[in-house]
Amino acid sequence: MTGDNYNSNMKKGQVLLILVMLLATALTVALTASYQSVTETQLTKLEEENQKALAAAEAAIEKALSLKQGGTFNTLGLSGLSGIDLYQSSVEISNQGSNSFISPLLQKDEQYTFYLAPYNPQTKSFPTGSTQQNINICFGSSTSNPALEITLIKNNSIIRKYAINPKDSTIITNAPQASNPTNCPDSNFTNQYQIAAADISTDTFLLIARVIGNGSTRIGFKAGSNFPLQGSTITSTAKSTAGVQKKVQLFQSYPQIPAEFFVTSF
Amino acid sequence: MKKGWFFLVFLFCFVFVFPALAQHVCNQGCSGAANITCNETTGDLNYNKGSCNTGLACYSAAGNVCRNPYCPTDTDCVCPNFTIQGFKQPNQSPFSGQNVYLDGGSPTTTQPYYFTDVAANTIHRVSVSSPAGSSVGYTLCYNNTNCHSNTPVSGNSVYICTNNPGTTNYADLWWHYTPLIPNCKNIKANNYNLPFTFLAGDTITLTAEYENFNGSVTSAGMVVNPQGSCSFSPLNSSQSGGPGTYSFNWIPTTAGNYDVFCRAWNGGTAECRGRCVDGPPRYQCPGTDGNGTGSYGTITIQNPSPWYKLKDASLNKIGNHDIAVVQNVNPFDADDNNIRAVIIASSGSNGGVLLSTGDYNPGPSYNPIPDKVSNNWHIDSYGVLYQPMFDNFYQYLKSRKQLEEKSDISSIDKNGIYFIKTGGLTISNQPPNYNFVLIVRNSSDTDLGSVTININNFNITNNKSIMILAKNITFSSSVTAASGIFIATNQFSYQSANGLKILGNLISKNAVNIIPRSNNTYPSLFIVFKSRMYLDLLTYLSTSRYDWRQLQ
Repeated sequence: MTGDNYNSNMKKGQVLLILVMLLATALTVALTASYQSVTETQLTKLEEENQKALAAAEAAIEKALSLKQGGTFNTLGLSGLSGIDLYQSSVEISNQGSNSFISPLLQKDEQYTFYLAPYNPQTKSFPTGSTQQNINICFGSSTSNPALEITLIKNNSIIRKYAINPKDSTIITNAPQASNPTNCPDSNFTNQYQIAAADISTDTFLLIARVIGNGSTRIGFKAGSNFPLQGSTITSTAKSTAGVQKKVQLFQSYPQIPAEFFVTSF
Repeated sequence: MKKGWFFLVFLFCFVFVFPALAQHVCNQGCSGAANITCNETTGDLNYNKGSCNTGLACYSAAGNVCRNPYCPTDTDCVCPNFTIQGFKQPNQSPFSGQNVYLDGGSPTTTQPYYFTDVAANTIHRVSVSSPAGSSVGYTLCYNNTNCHSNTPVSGNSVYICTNNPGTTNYADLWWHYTPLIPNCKNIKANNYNLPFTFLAGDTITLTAEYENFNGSVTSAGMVVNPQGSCSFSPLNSSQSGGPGTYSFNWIPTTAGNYDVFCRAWNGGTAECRGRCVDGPPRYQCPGTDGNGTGSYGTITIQNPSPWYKLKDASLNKIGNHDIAVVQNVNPFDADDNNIRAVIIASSGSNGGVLLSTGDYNPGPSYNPIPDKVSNNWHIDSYGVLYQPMFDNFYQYLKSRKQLEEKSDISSIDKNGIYFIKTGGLTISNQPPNYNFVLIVRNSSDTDLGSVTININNFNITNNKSIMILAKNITFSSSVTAASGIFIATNQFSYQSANGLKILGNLISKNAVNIIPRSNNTYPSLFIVFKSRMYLDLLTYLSTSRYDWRQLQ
């Protein structure tokens, strides 16, 4: 082998090596891009399925509300939901009472109408009275502690009222203060006040709790025996044909008297 | 015989031409000396002439020499004229203007007084007049003014004994008067110091302390006059008795400013008063400081304000809770009682919280009206209420509930929710006999409208559960009672001067002008909360609350 041939072969090998390396780099880039595209496509698909299932679950609740009945999506007549398994998706309307209840979040000056006697939405009447039992009223949180005014409306036009300050604070002059919570629906409440069973008696229809002072709060109710239904609790579970499942719950209260229309003002 | 006459003439001439040969002259030694004394009470000047000439005294204190007894230290026996001067104390009427006499001559009433150039060769008598019901005494010092803090000598006259200092240049004579009065002080009204403000119609208990002073207390009295007058009306009361604290009740009927003062009698001798002192034997009471403080004062009487009363309710008072209510109130009607409170309750019920968005001023500090009989729950300066439903309720009803439009309230023919579009609804007839919610819209249905109710006892007989929602609700002057829930998202107003009673509820976004009554012991606005109406209208006058939760 002459020196010229040796040099020529060396150059060819170097070119080949560079080509191989370029090819490997290009291949790596192409494969990576392809993998990312597939992953993104899969995530998008999953998100679409989630949205589709969630929307279907909410639509089913609206339908159940209007029909005032539960069942599978199929029996509710929800036929237009593409990609949803109508037979595996259902709506359940709960009619079970409980001995604890937490209201929606109430803003300053709002009130919540809590039913102490069973209410018949069809006849719009109270067939019976209340259960005579102690009721714990729980309110406030780590960030907001307003006062409450409680009104008991009884069947003989008797009105009983209570004013409750949060513990360690006076919003309503001369009103008693709540105590530390010991028996509330959950551990988020910071105040508890008990209305005695004798005051509740068996003739109370409604308990109206008004939020006084700055701050918002949920109001928790806790007793020994179950309270009457406070409204409709509708749980909707929607399952897509791809297997994605979503569950949403809606509580619709019985009629609520707005505070603006209840408290004498002038 | 001639010899005898000669001897007598000789002796006469000898004695009178050369008296020293027989008696002693001024400032000469003498025999038979004694001290010179003068009694200021009787004016008696006593001395011993001794061997001195007539008019001179043989004065022992100067070494048994003859001196003028009116100025025994004066060696020439010629007493200088002097001045009698002084004050009448206390320096106030009627004492400062009393007469002062010198030897019964023309009096002087000046303060201070002076008698100048008074001859000293006699004992002068100075006397003063004295007002009825007083006693008087004097302090007298010669050639100085330092004796007037001494205890006065009782009496209204004194003789100036010019010999007392030896030679008198001036006599300083002060007269000290003492009115024979008791004292009264520390007037209080309902145990408050004066001045103080009360409401017409309230019972005011006036008290004062009565004590013996220069005279004993035999009776105690209290007077109330319109400010600046001495009419002894509307109160002029007295009680017999000795020292102590006495009380007098007064119920004012007319607004204004009044003078109050106490009176204390010392039998028929003298009286002290805090005000309206018209002359002896009536004097200014010394009071607490000697000048009358505490024996008089001022009371302002204000008319009570119109006020409101609620039964079985809570109250959001828009603006200030600012009422002044008399102690003894009268009920609006049989649904009311005479309990003095803003919120009263039916049997078995209790009232709620009185929330004032502005100031909380429940009336006079001596007797603020309670929010309730017990559990006086209130909040002041709450600020703006959060009331979104005033603006949103109609739209909420339209979207969630069944509403029916009517042209007039009389066309309502069943229970339900109705609205009327009108440029201004006037209701002059009783409503239909149904439970309903009526929403008054303006003619273009862009906002709530206005309604005027002209018929008295609106819905009282039917006693149905009615709610009227409008922007403005007006009850005309003929309406004194109405039944229903009346909600004005802007302004509720009424015009009756005989008060207005609402059976149901009243809600106005803005403060309501409370119309005065001719007798404000009655509430002007009386709200009887009717929970039954809320139960009857529960499905109409309500919203629903929704609580969404995603569980999975």
